[in-house]
Amino acid sequence: MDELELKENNTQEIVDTETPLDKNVRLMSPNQMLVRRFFRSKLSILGLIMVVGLFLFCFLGPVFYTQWGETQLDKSGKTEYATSVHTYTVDGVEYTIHQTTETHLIDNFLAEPSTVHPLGTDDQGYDVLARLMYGGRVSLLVSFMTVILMTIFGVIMGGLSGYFGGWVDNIIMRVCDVLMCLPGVPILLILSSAMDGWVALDLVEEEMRIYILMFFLTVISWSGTARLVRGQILSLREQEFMTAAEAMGYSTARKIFKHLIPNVMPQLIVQMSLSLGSMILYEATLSYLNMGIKAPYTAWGSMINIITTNQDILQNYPNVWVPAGVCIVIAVLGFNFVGDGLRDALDPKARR
Amino acid sequence: MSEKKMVGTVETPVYDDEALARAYREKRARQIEEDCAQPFDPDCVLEVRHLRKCFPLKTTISGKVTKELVAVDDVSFKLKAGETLGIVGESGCGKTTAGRAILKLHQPTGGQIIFDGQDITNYTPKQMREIRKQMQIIFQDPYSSLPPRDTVGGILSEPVEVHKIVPKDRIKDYVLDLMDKCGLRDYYFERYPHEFSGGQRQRICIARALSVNPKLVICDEPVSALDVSIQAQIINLLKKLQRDMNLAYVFISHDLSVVKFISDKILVMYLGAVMEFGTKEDIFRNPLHPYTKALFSAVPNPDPTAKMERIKLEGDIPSPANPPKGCRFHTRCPYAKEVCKHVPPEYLEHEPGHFAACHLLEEQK
Amino acid sequence: MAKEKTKNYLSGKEIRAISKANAKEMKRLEAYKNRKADESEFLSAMKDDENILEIEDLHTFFFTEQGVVKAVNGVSYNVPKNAVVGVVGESGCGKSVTSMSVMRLIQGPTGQIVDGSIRFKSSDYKRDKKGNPVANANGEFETEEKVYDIAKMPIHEIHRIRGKQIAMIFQEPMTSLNPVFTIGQQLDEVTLLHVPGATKEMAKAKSEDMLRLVGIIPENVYGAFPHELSGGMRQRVMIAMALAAEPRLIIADEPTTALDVTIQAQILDLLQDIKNKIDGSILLITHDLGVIAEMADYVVVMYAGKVIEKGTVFEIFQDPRHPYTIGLQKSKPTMTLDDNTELYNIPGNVPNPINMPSHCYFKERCAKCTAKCSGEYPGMVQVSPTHFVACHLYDEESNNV
Repeated sequence: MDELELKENNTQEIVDTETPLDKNVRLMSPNQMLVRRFFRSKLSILGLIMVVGLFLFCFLGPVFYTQWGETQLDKSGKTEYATSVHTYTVDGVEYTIHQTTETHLIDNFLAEPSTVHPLGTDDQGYDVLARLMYGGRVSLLVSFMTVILMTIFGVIMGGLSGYFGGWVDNIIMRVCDVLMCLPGVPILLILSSAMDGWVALDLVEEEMRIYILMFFLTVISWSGTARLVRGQILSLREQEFMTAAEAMGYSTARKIFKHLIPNVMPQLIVQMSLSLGSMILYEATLSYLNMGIKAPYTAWGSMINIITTNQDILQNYPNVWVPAGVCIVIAVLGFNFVGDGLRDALDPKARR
Repeated sequence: MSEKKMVGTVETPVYDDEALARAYREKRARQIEEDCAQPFDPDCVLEVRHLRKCFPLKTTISGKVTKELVAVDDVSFKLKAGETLGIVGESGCGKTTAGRAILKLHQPTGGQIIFDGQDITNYTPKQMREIRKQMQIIFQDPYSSLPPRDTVGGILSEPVEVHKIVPKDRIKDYVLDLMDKCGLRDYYFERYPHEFSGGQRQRICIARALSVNPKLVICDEPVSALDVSIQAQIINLLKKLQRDMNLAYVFISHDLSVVKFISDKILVMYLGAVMEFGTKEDIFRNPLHPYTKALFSAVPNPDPTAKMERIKLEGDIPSPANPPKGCRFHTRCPYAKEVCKHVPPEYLEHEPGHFAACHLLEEQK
Repeated sequence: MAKEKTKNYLSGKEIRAISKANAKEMKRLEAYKNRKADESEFLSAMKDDENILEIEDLHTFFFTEQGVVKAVNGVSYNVPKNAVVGVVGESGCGKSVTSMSVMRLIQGPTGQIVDGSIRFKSSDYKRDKKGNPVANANGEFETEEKVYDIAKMPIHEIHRIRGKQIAMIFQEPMTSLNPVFTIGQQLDEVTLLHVPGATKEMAKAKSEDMLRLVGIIPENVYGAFPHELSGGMRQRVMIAMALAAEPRLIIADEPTTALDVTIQAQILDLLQDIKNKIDGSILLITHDLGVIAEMADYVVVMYAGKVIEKGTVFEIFQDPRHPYTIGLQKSKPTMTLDDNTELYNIPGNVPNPINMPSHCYFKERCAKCTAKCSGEYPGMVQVSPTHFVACHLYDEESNNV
């Protein structure tokens, strides 16, 4: 009798495990939790606004600001009149000749900010605002591509290294060590000079030069991502769900790509947004050193480059180069804030 | 004066530890060779013969192991379908390593594992992949053993899909049926593991292990991390599933009362070696080894009136990297004698089906 | 299925409402915690002079993003002088949070003591206004007894009690010792900190005494670093450290859970032994009924932030009244149990402590639940002078008592 009662009790239990008490409880979905934590910090909101604002400015801006294009010179050049007075005496009679010279300036360079040119024009006569937008496109695109490439490369190398360990790990990590010792900018300088030669020989197109340079940058900078991924995988590999996957008889590829990589994703996203900032700086440096994109196209870095050739602009025309500098600062800060915010949001241990 | 006489009369046996160890090793090697040549027992799902697993502690640059940790030393047993073997022991006794070595999650250093009539000891990882679906494992920690970024449905469908247990269009029905069997509601299918309590997560783990229709399940402390009332639910679930699916369990636990409840046969381990092996009745009615006795008496009794006398064990468990010579238990054994410090005891059958390794028992014989 | 899913999650609006309410409440409580207060504000009196600790109607909440977690929701129990009180319950029942509240170790700003009082009879040296101990004419330090309400104490005043009057033994002996100091240094520090006028030599002598008390030969361990010791040894050291300040109350939070059975038996024996040697009480928190049965004089059973039953150890183990206590005892397989067909079990899960209903929290898992159980949460019913139970089943009995 007693046993029968017990049995009944148990069969009921099998069917009914979730008590209605639990039904009252409503949790947050993982995404809600993430969003909630991200927006808890004012800095990450600010960062997001900065980044989104810049993107809108660069990619949507030219749609509305159609007066001037990237390579469109302002040929409305004003006419300058120079008057000179020549006085000479012929036979005691004094003649005065008023000479007016009319000069037609084709390019409207270094114009003051006005309704036609909200930020004025640069020393060539390009509209600064339009150039800022188009230059931003290049800067952002290049950095994005670099970071994505770098991440893909880093994940593959780090994944292999962390998962297989042993000599694979040893080789990849030693390569990383070597890469970490290489100074980035000097190597790119050398490459850039080499590329000047290739351009002259028509091996490389001029426009592609920055992309090629950034590709090389990827090649030497994936080591950070690889190390991160390796470290994560080493700790994840010890988790029991990986042993469970092993016990399930899953293939190696499935174990790495279905079970390990998704769990590294949060850290990767953080790393990506943080390296976006540094990539923008890299790109700006290259352009500033005149190794990046070349005229008539532009990028933020090359817009600042003007000051190296013309002291006058540095002193008297801040409207030409300061906006580009501000954009770079906003971009770098924005990406870093977003990255920090994401890190706090994704790290379950980071409690406040 | 009298002291001198005493010394004269008492014979202190002299032990040459190295020679003894050598003799022991040789004898054991012969035994292992002999046993491994035996034909496989067709009735058994799992037969483990002289399983040994060492981990290298120190290696030279050339890869030669100079010091090793013997995590599991000479474990043998047979297990039939529908039976449960309980492995009991304290931390560092090698019970978890033994469980994983049986599944070949660690490659065994020596011995034989015969699963379902096949000697799988030297199978390659690729060959193992086919066998894996027939042998599964349930872990202690229900929190780290589920992938955090997958839904319950995803976790349970994946093995079914990979091993092609049922046609693709029937996977969902199959999984829902399985979830029902393990006491999980159907709408859990879309939820994530972090939304569940430990007990429900352990149910998910059990469902995952059973999704591939295994013949053998290694339960590695499946209830140790759970609350008492949930423990009972999980134990009952495991028992019910065993009846329904005719599963063989290897149930690893440090909790003697749980092992006693679920097991048919019990293996008591200490520092990597087997101390005692027998049916549950034998072990609990008539424990032979002093370690087993001490282990039993150490369990706190939830009855305040019954104050029983404890067999106290002094000192700590020695490090498994540096186990004592002779009988491993002699440093803590209340009955240890001189011989125990030098000669490893033989693992003998003292009653039919009841094995133990202790010098005291040898003498009684 | 999709609908079910969305129903299970909070909406953005609700989340905002929760976080707004939480922020307000947390700010208020945090200000209360950090306020400056005169001693008279938190001086109190014991209800029963035999007790050393009286917890009354304690509420400790955690203000999480998903709602207020009522981890301790109206808990009352007493710790008498020189007694061992065992608190037993499953994970999340609030047994540890209660003890943390006593030590004021609740992590702010999310965790806060919201209401209730924790009265503790402290025996401290007489102090001057600056807090330095005052010596009498003979150069001896006199002690005086005061009753403090710990829950009302500002957080910076807690040093009067923490460590000195109430010591704590934690579950994890692996992490509760500082790895860069030797055992001796860590033990000496306790004495130097809490005993006025203590010199280094005195501290060392005291530490060695304490180590001997917990069954360790001081010579081997005094100069050792924590990582050189095994888990059992470390737990002994932790106990020695707790004893060094001669506290009136020791809170042992799952002291043996992380240890092996044979080591657990050693530590339990040690605690038994110490219990008789020291002049103080032990508050033992564990989930293991066996440990409670062996150690405790009084037992408090907690479930979902509430005390559901309390009484002497014999009453709880031989005449359990609450269906939860009964179920808990039946569902644990014992060494003496021979029937192995099926274990009794309590169905369902421990409830999530957010959004608790107003009826009995155990109702859904209870085998004996009646119509009355859907009503209000049952009050404490006295079934014997020392035995209390919170269950509607015994409502009539209370009239008889």
